[in-house]
Amino acid sequence: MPSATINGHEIAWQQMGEGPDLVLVHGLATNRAFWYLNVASALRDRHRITLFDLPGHGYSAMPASGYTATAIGRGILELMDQAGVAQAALVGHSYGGACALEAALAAPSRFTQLALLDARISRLQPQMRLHDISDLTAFERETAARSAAAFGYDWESEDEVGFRFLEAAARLRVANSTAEARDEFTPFGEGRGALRAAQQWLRLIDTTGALTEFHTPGSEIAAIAALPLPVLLMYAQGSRCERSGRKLAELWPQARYIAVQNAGHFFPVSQPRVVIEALNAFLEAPRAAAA
Amino acid sequence: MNAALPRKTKTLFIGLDGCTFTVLDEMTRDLPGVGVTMPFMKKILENGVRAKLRSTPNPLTPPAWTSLMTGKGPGVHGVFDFIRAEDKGGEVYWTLYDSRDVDSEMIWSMVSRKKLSCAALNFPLTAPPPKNINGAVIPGFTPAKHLRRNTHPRELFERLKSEVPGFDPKELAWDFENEQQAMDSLGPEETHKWVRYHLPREEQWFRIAEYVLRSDSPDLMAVMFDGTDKIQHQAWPWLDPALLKAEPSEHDRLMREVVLEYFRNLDHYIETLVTLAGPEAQVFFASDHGFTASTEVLRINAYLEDLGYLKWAVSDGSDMAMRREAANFANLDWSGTTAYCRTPSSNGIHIRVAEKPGDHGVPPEQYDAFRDKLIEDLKKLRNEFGEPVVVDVLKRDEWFPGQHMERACDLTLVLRDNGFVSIRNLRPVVVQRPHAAGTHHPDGVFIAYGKGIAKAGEVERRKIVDVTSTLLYSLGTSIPSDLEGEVPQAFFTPEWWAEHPLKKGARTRLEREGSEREDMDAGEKQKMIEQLQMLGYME
Amino acid sequence: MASSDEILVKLTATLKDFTQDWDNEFEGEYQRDTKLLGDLGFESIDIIQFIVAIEEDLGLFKTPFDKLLMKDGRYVDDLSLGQLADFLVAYVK
Repeated sequence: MPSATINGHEIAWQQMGEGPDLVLVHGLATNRAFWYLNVASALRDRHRITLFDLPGHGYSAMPASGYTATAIGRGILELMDQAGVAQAALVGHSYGGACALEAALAAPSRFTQLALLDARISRLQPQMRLHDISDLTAFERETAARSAAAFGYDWESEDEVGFRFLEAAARLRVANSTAEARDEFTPFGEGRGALRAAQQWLRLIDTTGALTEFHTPGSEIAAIAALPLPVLLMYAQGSRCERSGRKLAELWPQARYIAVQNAGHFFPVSQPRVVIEALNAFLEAPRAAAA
Repeated sequence: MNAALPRKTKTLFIGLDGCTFTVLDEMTRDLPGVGVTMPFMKKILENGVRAKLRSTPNPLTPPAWTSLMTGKGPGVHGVFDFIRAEDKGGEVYWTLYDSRDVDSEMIWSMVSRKKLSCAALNFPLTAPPPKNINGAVIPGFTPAKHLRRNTHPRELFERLKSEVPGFDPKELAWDFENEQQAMDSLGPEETHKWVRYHLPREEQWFRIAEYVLRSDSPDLMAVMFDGTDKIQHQAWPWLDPALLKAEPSEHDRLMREVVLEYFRNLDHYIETLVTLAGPEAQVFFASDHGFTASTEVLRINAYLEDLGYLKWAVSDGSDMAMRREAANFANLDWSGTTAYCRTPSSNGIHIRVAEKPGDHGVPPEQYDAFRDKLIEDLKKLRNEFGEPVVVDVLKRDEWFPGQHMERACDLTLVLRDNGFVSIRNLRPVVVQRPHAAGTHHPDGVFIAYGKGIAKAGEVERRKIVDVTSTLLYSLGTSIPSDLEGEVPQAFFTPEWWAEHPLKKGARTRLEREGSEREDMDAGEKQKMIEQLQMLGYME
Repeated sequence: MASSDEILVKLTATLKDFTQDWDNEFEGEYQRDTKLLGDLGFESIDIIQFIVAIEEDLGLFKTPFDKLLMKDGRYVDDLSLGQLADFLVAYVK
């Protein structure tokens, strides 16, 4: 597996398939396998796909800093240089979407299209509170209750519940007290890899500056609005990130917006077919028609 | 398979297409002048456990068996009907669903990944057979001409030919023309012939099952008998105790005899297979849906035409056009149609949405209002007795959540008598049937028997997606966390349940042929496997 | 990219296996102009099965066969092996 040195730290990456370049960016607490099994396998017939692990994730190094969306966005451009990708379509899920947006804003000519999947953009959505959405999932309810009891988390006053849920789920996994309930995709949920994934996540937030840097807003709103690329926005209906999607849709009236029904934040895993079909249609549309 | 180690089947699963307790209870009772038609099934019911099994929202063979085999709803697995149609703007392209359309992992593959062996005989949607199966697949609903190519492993077909006495693909396989008649009205003689035709078919599947069970003893042995459904469609009046005539005619007597013969045979097949599996095995029976009587016919497309939603194609009188009109899917003028029913089996209505301005169909922004109006129109319909014909209308976003929701009918109809709609261009729109006909009921059967199974009589109704989880539990393997079903604790003795704690495991994984490509070396593959484990895809 | 003639060779192999135990009266050699319904006695269900077999043997999935099978909103009456091979050129790697 090739690795690149970006900002002095190792990033693990790989390529597959043939065709126009496509770069896929995963979100927090997952790794490049998030794309591999479904989306990348389906799109590789028509694209050369570049996958990589975010810093602090998978087989990439875990530096003390360099986790802001802006820094990782710059890293994507450097990785493209080292991987021989001159111009690509760029797809990001969750925090990977926030990073992808920064990469596209920094060098729009390097990209043909941008797709953001349930990406929360801090600049547009500075806080994420428990009751931003009406219903918690079964897993969230149980995780909130268990972590409040075990670690004294105060969910009502938490203004970054997304990150906090990952942290709580990871600590509960390490304490072998994981919630019984399951969502359509449950972070650190299953199998022997779950403990390792939980430990990696805790090491990242406990020993580096990542958690603070994840909050750091990226580009200004005016700059976001001026992005000169065709954009696809896919957001799970009722997801906590939906607010970002709505605001982006207002900033980019030409963007195609797909509200994914009956799905949670991890819909690229739980509803891969919907994502594959939407990306196929979006990536094949002539650039002029989509812009 | 290691010949040195004696293998033993852990779990025997017998699928009974369309089986219902209405009939099973009758067949296991001591009837005057008839006796007990299914004495072995009587023993199973008395010593095991039973529950009604709620089918998929449209209780139909392809979606329901696929849910039973994947543990997921049709919105997730993507199979909704026999015929798959793609609306291509101006035209609709029709083809058949096959196993490659099943977008969720089937139990055969889950079991094989756990290094257990299985046999899957006569199940729909298993052709072409997936290649990663550790065991035997002989698909159901496959024409004789295509059975050899669709048998896994290929050499099994040759083994059957040489080692199963009387093996005859023609007798065994699905005859498309013949099966079409399940939904037609037949004359008395044809009805009798139709039922008779299924007796040797079932015998063929039984002999294959017996052979595979005896020679391979797979950990999970599964066979499906589908004569139950076929016969009930045409011979319901001679099966439903509520419809049996006090003074039967000669034809009634013949019909009653042949249906009893079928169930007597079935009982013998079951007894032989259960006995072969041995006292250590757990045995499960399930149906994809139940059965009941349909008394009226709704010609749905005719009704939609009356309301201005649909326009029929004009026939040019050619052979091709005649064939099209006789076929079991709608032949329409697409430019004049906004809502239509594609197939009787779908029991649903598709709304044609205009993808872009200028296309025919409902503009997307008017979809909700259009749909609400259509639902209202459907619920308004009354039969000649003033009774509502359509008792419920299911919206796909509520009933078929998942990545394939858009393949579902926009609206699925529930008719007063649970019947299937007709799509013929005939009047009147609603007509009473001359005789009650068999149709699918949402509640089928789920039965268990054997070691560790509670002698519990009837317990609470289960869902069809529970079957996958239950079979995996019985095999002692972990249950993927993304299965929708649950294992019914009431099916098992408290001792068994205590000794066999339920294990949740990694998510299901759909591997398509060709997805394993050689662009990673061994080290890279190992890393990817570890990363998949971290996401809960592997154990 | 395979040429139409190369694909024709593969189609012929698939077809031989596909019709191995049919009661088939076709005695000739498979040619470019051999027709599935007219010469080989296919029924419409066999065409669907044959498409599955071709996809299996050539490693294809979800090939848009509707473009070959439908003309002006109607199904074509018959299909020759040559037509199939020409169509597949765009999809076989």
